[in-house]
Amino acid sequence: MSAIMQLCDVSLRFGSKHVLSNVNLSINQGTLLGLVGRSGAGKTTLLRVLTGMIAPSSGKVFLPNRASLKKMVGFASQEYSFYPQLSVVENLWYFGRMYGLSSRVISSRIKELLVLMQLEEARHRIASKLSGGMKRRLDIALALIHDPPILVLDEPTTGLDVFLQEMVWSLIHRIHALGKTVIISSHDLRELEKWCTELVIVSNGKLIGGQELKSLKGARQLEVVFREVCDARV
Amino acid sequence: MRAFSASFEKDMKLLFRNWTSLFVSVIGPLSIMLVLIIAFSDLGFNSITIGHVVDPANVRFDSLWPKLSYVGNFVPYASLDDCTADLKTQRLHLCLQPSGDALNAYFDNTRELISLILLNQVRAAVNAEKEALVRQKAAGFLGEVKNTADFLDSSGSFAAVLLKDLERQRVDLVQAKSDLRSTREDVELRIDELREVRSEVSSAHSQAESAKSQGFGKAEATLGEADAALYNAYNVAAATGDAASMSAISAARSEVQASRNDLSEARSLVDGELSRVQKVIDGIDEALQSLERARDVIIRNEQRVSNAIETIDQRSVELRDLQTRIDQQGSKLDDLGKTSVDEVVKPITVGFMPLFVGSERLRDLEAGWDLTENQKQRLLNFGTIQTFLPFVLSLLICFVATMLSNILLLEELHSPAFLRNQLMPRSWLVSFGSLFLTVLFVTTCQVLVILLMGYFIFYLDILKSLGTLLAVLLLLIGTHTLIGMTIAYVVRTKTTSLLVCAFFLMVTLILGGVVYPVERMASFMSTVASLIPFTSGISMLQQSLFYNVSLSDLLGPLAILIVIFFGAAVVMCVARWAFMDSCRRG
Repeated sequence: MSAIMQLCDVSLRFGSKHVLSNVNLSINQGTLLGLVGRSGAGKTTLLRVLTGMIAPSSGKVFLPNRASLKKMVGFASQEYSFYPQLSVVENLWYFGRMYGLSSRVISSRIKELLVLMQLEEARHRIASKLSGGMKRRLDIALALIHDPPILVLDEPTTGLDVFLQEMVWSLIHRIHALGKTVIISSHDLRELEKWCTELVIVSNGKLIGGQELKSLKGARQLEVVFREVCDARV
Repeated sequence: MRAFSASFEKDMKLLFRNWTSLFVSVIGPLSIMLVLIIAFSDLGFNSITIGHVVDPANVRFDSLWPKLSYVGNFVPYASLDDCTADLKTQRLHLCLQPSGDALNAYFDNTRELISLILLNQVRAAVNAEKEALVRQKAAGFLGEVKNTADFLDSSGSFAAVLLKDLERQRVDLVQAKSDLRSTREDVELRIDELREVRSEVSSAHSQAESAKSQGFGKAEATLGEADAALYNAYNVAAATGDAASMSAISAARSEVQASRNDLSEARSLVDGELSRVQKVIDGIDEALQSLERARDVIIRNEQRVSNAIETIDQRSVELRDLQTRIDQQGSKLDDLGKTSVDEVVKPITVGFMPLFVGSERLRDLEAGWDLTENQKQRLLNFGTIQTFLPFVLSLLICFVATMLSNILLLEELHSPAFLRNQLMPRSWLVSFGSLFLTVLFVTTCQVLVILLMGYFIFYLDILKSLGTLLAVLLLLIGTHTLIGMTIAYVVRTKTTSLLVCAFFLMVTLILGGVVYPVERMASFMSTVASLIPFTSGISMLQQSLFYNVSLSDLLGPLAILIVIFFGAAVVMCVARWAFMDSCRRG
């Protein structure tokens, strides 16, 4: 599998505080990558670098064919990120336009996403009036409106009940099954270990993943390794 | 372009689906317009109460109260303390206290605006009353002046008559003097003649006396001698007894005696004549004395006449001089008497000439109608209402543009969609531009509504200066939009940001001279006021709307406004950069 995104010696500093230090990460196409780490470890910051929201202080993010990072990546955070006063279709239409899509493409994508996210019946409902699950689905639909090859989800199941968590994971699988590369950060270690094809631990701005993590983990559960790594780095 | 139009469409939808922005953009301004229309529908004095202290000993100002009845209700008070007590508790607007010739007006200077307006009315009424009194006195005075002028005129005429009389009298006196002189000369002549006569008579008398004395003496002596001789001869004769001789001698002696008697008679006659001559001489002397006395009298009278003539000459000169002065003064007084009461009462007047007396359209309309006085007054009020339009426009722009841009931007920054918008592959200028355009569009719509109202309801000459108006208005809207956005980026929280906007508006109104004239503030305030977009906006709107001042003539203040606009844009960009930097840091 070819790498769809590469981070080379990426560091990020806010003033004197080092948030990310010499991060090297190669994300293969079609991967379902799980990111774990303690609160404040730098997961969200890493995701922001991956989505292009923040530029690294040093190092580079490589993409194939010099593509635009923002057009390559779709992002859904743990807080819903849409206009509550607009309807489902209005939100999709607006963000589709922001991605520079034509009316024909947007109309087509909206139809596909509404089916995929099971929001056909709520298409004209004002977003604030949607249920929790519908809001989550709308958020993910907005992340996919421009059909990005990479989808980044920041703690998508946080705050949801079990049924909604199952619904979200089901959705993630369907999206992954479409051939998308999904990067997901979560505190749900069991689900990540169960479903992710690759895992990365973020601890104090550094990454432990790939072969290093595999050799650390061995046959142990991810949670044990996670505790070990995070305690050691405290 | 697609992104821009989508963003604009989104902003418009959000604006009308948000009660706060809906209120600021639609409900609030409409309410303000409605309130203003109602408030200015009838310009006059309402609910004004003025107290006046009653002083039975001073009724001088009693006639004033009915003349001021249009201003408000007049309530009598027994004492000044009661009146000012009610003034302090705002039950009254003014307290008027007659004090001798003065009317003391006690006003609450903490309510300066209405107090000054009312004081102006009172001052105007008092001045009118004063003018009436002065006019009355002036009329009386001018009447007296006229009478005096007439009197002087008649005095001048009388003086002319007197002069003529004096002239005549002088002529008579000169004549009399001449007559006296000739009489004197005659008298002197007569005196000389009489003197000569006297001299001759006296000489003749003397000669006669001497001749008498001599003649008669000799004669008597001769006769005596003769008599004696005759006696002797008689004696001789007697002696001789010459009777014939004695008779002859006696006859001769009798003749001699008769001659002696005749001589004595003649002597007596001569004496008598001599005494008569002497009497004549005495008479002549008396006549001479009389003539001399008469001459003296004539001379004295002549002198008197001369003096009289001199006096008359002097008095004539003086009288002529007096006449000239009387004529001059009379002429002056006559001119003064022709002065009108108005010229005396109002030697200099202040003419209040408002430059703007209503739009041309209003005046054309007025000219085409046959209006009652009440309607004319209402139209005059219309002209006053028209002058409020620049203030209303600037206030609306200041309020709506600032608050709306602030609200919309804060809604955007606090919106859940903010994070997703950071991921969009488009410049921040798209969202900024669409938000800016949204505020510009909404505010411009409201401005257009007001301009339409101004055109169709208040008959303002909008079309003549439409280009300039729109340029100024758009610049004002843009500047205040940027200010609202800057406040949103700096303050970031909704409530505080709205408070800051409200504070900004309040400061703008105060420093812009709405509440208190800038000209009465510290000197540097005029510089500050010129930099406030609100103030310069009102100024430019007034000039273009009421006096059709063109854009080229407004280049100076327009340039300042453009600089402020770009300055606000720079500040807004810096504020945005700081905000985004803090967001990135999390």
